[in-house]
Amino acid sequence: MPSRKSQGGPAVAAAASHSSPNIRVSNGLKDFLWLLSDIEGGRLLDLGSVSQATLNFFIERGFRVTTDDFVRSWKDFRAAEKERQHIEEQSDFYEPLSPEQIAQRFLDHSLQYPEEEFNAVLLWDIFDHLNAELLPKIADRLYDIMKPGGAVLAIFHSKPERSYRYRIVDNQTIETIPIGPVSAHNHAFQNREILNLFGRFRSAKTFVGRDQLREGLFIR
Amino acid sequence: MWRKQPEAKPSSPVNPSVGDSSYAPPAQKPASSSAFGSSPNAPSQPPPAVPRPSADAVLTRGICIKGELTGKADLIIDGDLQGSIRLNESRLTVGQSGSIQADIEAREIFVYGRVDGDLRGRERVVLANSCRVEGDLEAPRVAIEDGARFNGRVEMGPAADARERQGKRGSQTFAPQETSPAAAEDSEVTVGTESVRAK
Repeated sequence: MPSRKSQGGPAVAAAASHSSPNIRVSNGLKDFLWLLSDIEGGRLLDLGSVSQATLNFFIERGFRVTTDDFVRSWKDFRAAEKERQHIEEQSDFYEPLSPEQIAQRFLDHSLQYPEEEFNAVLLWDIFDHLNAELLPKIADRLYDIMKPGGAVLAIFHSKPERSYRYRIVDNQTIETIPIGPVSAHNHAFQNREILNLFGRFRSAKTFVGRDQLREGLFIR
Repeated sequence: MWRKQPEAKPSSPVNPSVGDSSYAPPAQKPASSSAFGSSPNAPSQPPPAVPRPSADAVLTRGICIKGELTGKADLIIDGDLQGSIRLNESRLTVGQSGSIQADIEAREIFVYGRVDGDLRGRERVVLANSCRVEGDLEAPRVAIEDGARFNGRVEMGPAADARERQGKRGSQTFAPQETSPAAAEDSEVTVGTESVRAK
């Protein structure tokens, strides 16, 4: 009888042979890709930092990829808003915007894609980095721009202390690359919160790994 | 199952300070699928320092041009340009202080600075980690350094290549591989409100 170690697939073998501690087997990714396996010429939206490896992975499989570095766009918007606010504070007519209004202003210029455009969205952990007011609006917008049956892959950290960049290593392996401390984190998501955010989606499934990283798979 | 990407090589002589040595992979990295030497199986490393490229002509910092730019010489832009750029036989380098608001067509495009516009490279497009690009990107070969900021659509390869890739899709599938029992046993799966242990 083969040992447990010898039963792992190529990805596991690759991961095991790797010295990087940031390689992890991802059940969420595995299911995500399984859902896309019958799609020819699909469209993918990657909302994380652009990664050559992830781009190649999907383009080689016939997907058309759009990348939208969402967190960095949000940070830029916040910086511009602060500057605008600083100027407008000098006015007698100044009224500060509520967090909801700020979120809406940002989304007026973000995620502006046609309805039912994408078969798949890589959300990664961007919800860990955004203000709470944005999250339900983003989930709604994602629903609108995705085709029926489309899938979203998301990651939620139980102890969000660092920012990460992600890249797909193979069909079931992700590399998480720490890139610095988190500047504005809200809180660790509970499962119920996650399911509520994606309540419009037909199906929601989460996986909690040994490292307490929670992966979410949401099907429109 | 895995088709290894051929290493990106320029089809014509490229200034070594721009094309290869500046993005040469660190010694500890294996040969890889991208011009930066980062492969899907390679651990991430800090990007190498990007030395100053050279070219036939330089649009220096502080210079601003509005209009259409065409020509056959290699060009570095460290200033500002608004309009359009067509250098179909040449290499265009947007330096770290360069800021372009234009669609760009060139044989090779290297971006270290900022571009608002679509990039179309006849041979390749390279985005360095210092760049910020807002626009669509189209080229037979695309190399993107970790840390680069890019928002847009990516089209790699001409239409024929795309068709060929479609035809080869059978060997490049999303089919799940055998799962590590250890990984599966440690996962708690929640569907809707129910939580079960994965077998």
